[in-house]
Amino acid sequence: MAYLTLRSKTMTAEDDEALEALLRWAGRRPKPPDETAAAVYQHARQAWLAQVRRRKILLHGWAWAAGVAAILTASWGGAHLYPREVMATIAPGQAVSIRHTPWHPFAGTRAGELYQGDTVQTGAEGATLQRGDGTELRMSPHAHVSFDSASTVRLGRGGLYVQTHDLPRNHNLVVSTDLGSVEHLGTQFLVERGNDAMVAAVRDGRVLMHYPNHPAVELHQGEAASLDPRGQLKRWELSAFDDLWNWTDALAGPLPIDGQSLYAVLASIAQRSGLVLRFSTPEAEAEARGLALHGAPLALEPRDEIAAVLATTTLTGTTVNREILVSAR
Amino acid sequence: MRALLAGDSTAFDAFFNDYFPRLYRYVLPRVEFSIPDAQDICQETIVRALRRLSTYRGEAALYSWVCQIAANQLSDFWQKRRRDGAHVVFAEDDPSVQAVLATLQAAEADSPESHRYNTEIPRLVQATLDNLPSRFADALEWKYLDGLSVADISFRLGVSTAAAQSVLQRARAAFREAFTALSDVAVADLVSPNGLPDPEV
Repeated sequence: MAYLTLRSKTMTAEDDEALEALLRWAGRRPKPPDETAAAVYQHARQAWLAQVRRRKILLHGWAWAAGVAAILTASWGGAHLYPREVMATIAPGQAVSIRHTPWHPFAGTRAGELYQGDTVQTGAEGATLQRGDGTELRMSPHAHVSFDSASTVRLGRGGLYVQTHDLPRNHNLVVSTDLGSVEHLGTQFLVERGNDAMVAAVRDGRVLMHYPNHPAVELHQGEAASLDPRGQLKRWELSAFDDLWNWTDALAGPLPIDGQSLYAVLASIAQRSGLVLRFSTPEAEAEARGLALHGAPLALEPRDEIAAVLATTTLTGTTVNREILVSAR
Repeated sequence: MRALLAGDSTAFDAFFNDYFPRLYRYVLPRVEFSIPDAQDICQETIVRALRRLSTYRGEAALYSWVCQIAANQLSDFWQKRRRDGAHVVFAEDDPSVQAVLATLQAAEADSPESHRYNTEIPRLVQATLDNLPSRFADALEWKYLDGLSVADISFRLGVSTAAAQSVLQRARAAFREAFTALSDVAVADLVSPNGLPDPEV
């Protein structure tokens, strides 16, 4: 009988014989009794099927939970992150180039509506935008504006004139440029980003001018300031009819007068120009209130508009120290 | 494994047919050859293995993993029984104990090696086969116990004759390696110069 020498690295013919002898001596591995195998099989199979069912239910549960979580997340994202709020609208007929944010569902489909991330470029005539809160934004010719957020308008170049009306106190509006930003505190102001500097001018109310490494500077009605790229700030007084306002007045639109009182029309001119309307006597004011005007809308310079509406009346007006003073002839 | 977790009945049958007989042979001697106890422990082991199958990471062979679960079941079984001194320890379970037993048996006057030949070695051989991949063990049994030709084995394995020959070669080598690992003595040491003893003796 050959020996099975397991210490050798290779199986020889002798090893093969020894292995056969060993296996024969050890005998066949016993098989479980059929009834035992059947009983274990049945029990294990039932337990396994139950386990599979539980697992599937659990997986479905997780799938549902994941689906619900995804829907909630998407809803939250849609509600909070999506730029659904219309930042401004632009009336048709104005020559502007609009670049919509690429990931807005309504981008380019709703004419005139501007959303967060959209940019507007004006041509040679400028344009007027209207915000939902009634604020009017006038863009100078060749201006570039983008809407960074509901409260921040970024001015890339050109000028932006802001005219607010009855805004709540906590309303926040900032016109931002690469040199600094102007925070709205009053009602009418202008920001220009020219080649050499940023200019801020206040026609009515006041603004806060922010720029790097300096405390904010408050500008009041009739004040202007320029900020150059080196951070140098220069302030000066500005007349109510300074040339700086020319392009904004040109974009103001015609002043309707038909059927309105003289007082109302003068008040509108004063408001648009950042002036205060005063009467020399109560009688002069009473006359202005009682006099109704008729005619086509006016599209003139403010001073010319004052002269035009007073021309056919017994009243006369002058503009002194940011006031329109109306008195009897 | 994935099919089993997904509820594939064919996968379950394959798993059961592959592992249950081996598990049964592992458990039976450890419950003093009580078939009802072996059935209960096998049943519980398979159920637990299936329940924990998703946690099996493949660090050990699946059979070893199943045996580990069975070992825990056996431990609980014997703790429940509280049989003093009845805890069964096998040589392949603890080599150091096996060495002690070998020393004790050597001191016995009446045929010390024949006890090992007739009880331990056959079980070690079978345990070795059970620890091999199923087709290796089957191929060895078909070849050496059933006397099948390589062609027949290739038919049963569903492979070519050359592949069956390769399987046999690897099975022999794997057996030799595993058997050496399981036993603290080489088979050559167990085989008497006059040949292998008759297991029936």
